[in-house]
Amino acid sequence: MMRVLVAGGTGFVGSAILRALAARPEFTAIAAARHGIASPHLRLCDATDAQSVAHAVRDADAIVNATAGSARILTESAARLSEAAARRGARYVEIGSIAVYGPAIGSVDETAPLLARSRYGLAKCRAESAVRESGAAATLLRAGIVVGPGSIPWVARIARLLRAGRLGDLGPAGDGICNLVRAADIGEAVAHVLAGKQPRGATFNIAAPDAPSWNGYFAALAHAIHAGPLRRIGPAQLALEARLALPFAALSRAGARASPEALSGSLQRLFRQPIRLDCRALASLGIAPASAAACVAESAAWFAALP
Amino acid sequence: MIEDARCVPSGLAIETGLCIVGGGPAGIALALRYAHPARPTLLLESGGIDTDPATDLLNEGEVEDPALHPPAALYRRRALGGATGIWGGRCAPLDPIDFAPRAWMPHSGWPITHETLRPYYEPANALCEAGAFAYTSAAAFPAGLSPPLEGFTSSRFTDDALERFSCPTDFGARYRDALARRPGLSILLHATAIGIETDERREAVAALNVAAPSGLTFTVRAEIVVLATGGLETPRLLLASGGIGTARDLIGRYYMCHIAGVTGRLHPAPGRAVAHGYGIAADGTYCRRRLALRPEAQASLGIGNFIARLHHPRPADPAHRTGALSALQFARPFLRPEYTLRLGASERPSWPHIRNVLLDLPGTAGFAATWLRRRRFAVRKFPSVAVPPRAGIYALDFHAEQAPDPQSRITLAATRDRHGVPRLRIAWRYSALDLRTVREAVAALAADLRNSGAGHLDYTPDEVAADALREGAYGGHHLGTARMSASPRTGVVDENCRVHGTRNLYVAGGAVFPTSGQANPTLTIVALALRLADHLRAA
Ligand SMILES: Cc1cc2nc3c(=O)[nH]c(=O)nc-3n(C[C@H](O)[C@H](O)[C@H](O)COP(=O)(O)OP(=O)(O)OC[C@H]3O[C@@H](n4cnc5c(N)ncnc54)[C@H](O)[C@@H]3O)c2cc1C
Repeated sequence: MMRVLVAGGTGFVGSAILRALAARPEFTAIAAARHGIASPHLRLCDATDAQSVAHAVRDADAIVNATAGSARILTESAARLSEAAARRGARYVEIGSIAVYGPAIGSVDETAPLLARSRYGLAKCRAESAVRESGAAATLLRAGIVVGPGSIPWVARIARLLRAGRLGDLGPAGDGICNLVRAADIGEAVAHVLAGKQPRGATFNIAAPDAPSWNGYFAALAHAIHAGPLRRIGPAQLALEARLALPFAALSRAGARASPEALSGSLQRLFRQPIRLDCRALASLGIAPASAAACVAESAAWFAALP
Repeated sequence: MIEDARCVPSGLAIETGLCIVGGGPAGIALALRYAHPARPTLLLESGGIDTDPATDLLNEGEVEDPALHPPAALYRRRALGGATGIWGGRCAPLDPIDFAPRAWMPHSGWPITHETLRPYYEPANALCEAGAFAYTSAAAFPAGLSPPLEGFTSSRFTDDALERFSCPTDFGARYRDALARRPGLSILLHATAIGIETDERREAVAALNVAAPSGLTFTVRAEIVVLATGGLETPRLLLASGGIGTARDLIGRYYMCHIAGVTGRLHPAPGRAVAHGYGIAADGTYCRRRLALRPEAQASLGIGNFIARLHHPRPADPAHRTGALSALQFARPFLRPEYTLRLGASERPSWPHIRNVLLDLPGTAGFAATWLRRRRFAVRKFPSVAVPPRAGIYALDFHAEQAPDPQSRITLAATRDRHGVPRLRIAWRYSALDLRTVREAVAALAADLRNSGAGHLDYTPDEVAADALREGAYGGHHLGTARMSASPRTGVVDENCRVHGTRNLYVAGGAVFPTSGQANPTLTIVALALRLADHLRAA
């Protein structure tokens, strides 16, 4: 029996990983999170604090980092958790992001240069290098756009914007590729990684094999949630949205937590970016992520059932 | 990569794998789909990103009878995107019967069937941004869409046929970014092909002569050349190059547009609802039901394909008493010439029109507000004026097939453009069959309206013929001038759009249509271009 500690285990991706591990007899999965009520299944832990981490991982055979948060939290949690894994000789899995490739375009495999320039992307890059420097027996999963039940940014937010007529068919502004992946598939991938033997530092992109364009994702999601006839959104409206989003971006840089649903310039750049995650390496893990249609169906069903 | 021929050095010789001449919807669809990893592609476009009058001058030519055909440069555009920079966006596929040889229509029949093209219609619809490939109201509107005229039933007409509308999408503006970053594809703007050089046996293109606006010329050598220059420039370039392949005498013949017009006065029966406006499908596209002549009725009447829509009466005639329609008379100066032509005869705004506007101020203001919001400032535009006429009387807006006729043809004029290429001479002809198609179809529709008790169509056969020819050839649809045929004796290109008797010259566009069908051509032009891309990639 392998005892796995999932940091960020109460979050959206973390809880999907816990579910995937719990479904298999060979794992005992324990969540670690900053807040909540401690129990045999949940350990309270500040993943940016070495002592707190050392205590949380005291009996873990494997550590999975699915922590979310500010740039500082992303980088430091990866450093502390992987250092702890190295010290204990525990396996380590880091949930990374497509954001590390920055503005790359075309088909991008795991050997592509990391060109990230955004705060988030740079933080994820630093997290990756911290993991590499820790010396832990680490595997890296670089996830695309994570959807499925519970995805606030990529399902609930998009769905609400579609219903409000603020998103729709963006024309050339939505021709980028939306590398959808279900959180559940990331859970599956983690389970496969831990069940098998991966070379130290192995890295895998993970996304649907038939990732649609963002326009395609918006159209399919709008249809599935009955958002009404798809609206065509022109450049003038998008420019206005980006301008309206500016003050909120400044606020969030200043540390404010509440982020209203704004179509910021950086989000709009993502919608335009024709980057396709090459996931062929993933086949060696023996998992095949769900199709885009399945991603949309599962996401829409969850959203439709929200109060 | 997008480059400009205004910056190329003289004496340049470009070598490439595939050369596409013309960056309209046909050339752009082909370039987007082709993307061959090992064969670099060059697209030559005569115009730039935007139109400029000097380039459009290259489209000028002679028209045999100016009453029958618009000036050669009208309804055309030289710029990336081709005529989609000004098109109306109406989309409909050809019907299966359009591909069949029909005993009652000489020279009819394609060497391919609807089935051959069917897989390409879906992606073509997507490229045209006309939503799903669903062309019946039953398929596109699960919750139903009101019929044009309540209670109309007929064994000869279906009212379930749909037309769908593109934004209307300018292929140049829409796909410029996608083209620019496509690996292996270069676009050269302001590059006008002015001649095709062949090998000694005239079986293959050896090189293309290309001119920049300055007059500087250079050559392009390519393994494969596709002419996607539109239905008028394609025969011009082939003829100006002295012919190539085996079909010399057929190039430029069988020139078809469509036979269209607005005619009659349709009085719906009391209490019958009329829906002559647009529905919005789930994918956001505007759609409209129309009355389509069924294939069996075409066969039994011995006529071509035909559709009709309920329409407001001709705006130029103030008897409609509708403020919005009269107001259009005052908007003429702000409209493109292509559209003022279609508005009808250019009568000056007269007192009855002013009276209509004044007596229908709320209607006129409401129309103006909707027009601004849903058309002027919208990206997906409300397709056309669709106001209920206050007098309650509608007209029939019909669009009919023009039959192929070798006497209707494009030849070269004695004069030349500034690059020395002979200008076009357009001798468009219509035939007795064309007039019979509209006369018989309107008569059948009138009879079926009466029989179903849905309404009454008031018309005379002479008036139908006059309305069909009022503006002459329908502008913008240039078809048949390099027709597709199984045998080199009856056409210019084979079923794969390769010029008969050549190894490496192909045509994309309406020129290859052997017959015109009732449908507006662009959707099919794009579908054919996508099919050609697959064929060339496999070759
Ligand atoms: C006002 C108007 C309304 C229309 N409405 C509709 C509609 O509602 N529905 C519909 O289906 N169709 C409509 N059409 C027709 C539609 O625009 C054409 O079917 C379509 O554009 C044809 O595409 P194409 O690529 O074959 O040719 P084009 O669009 O003509 O493009 C040809 C391109 O080739 C370039 N070119 C020409 N010669 C050369 C040369 N020698 N060297 C290099 N480049 C060259 C031109 O600059 C041009 O960009 C309309 C047209 C007009 C004008």
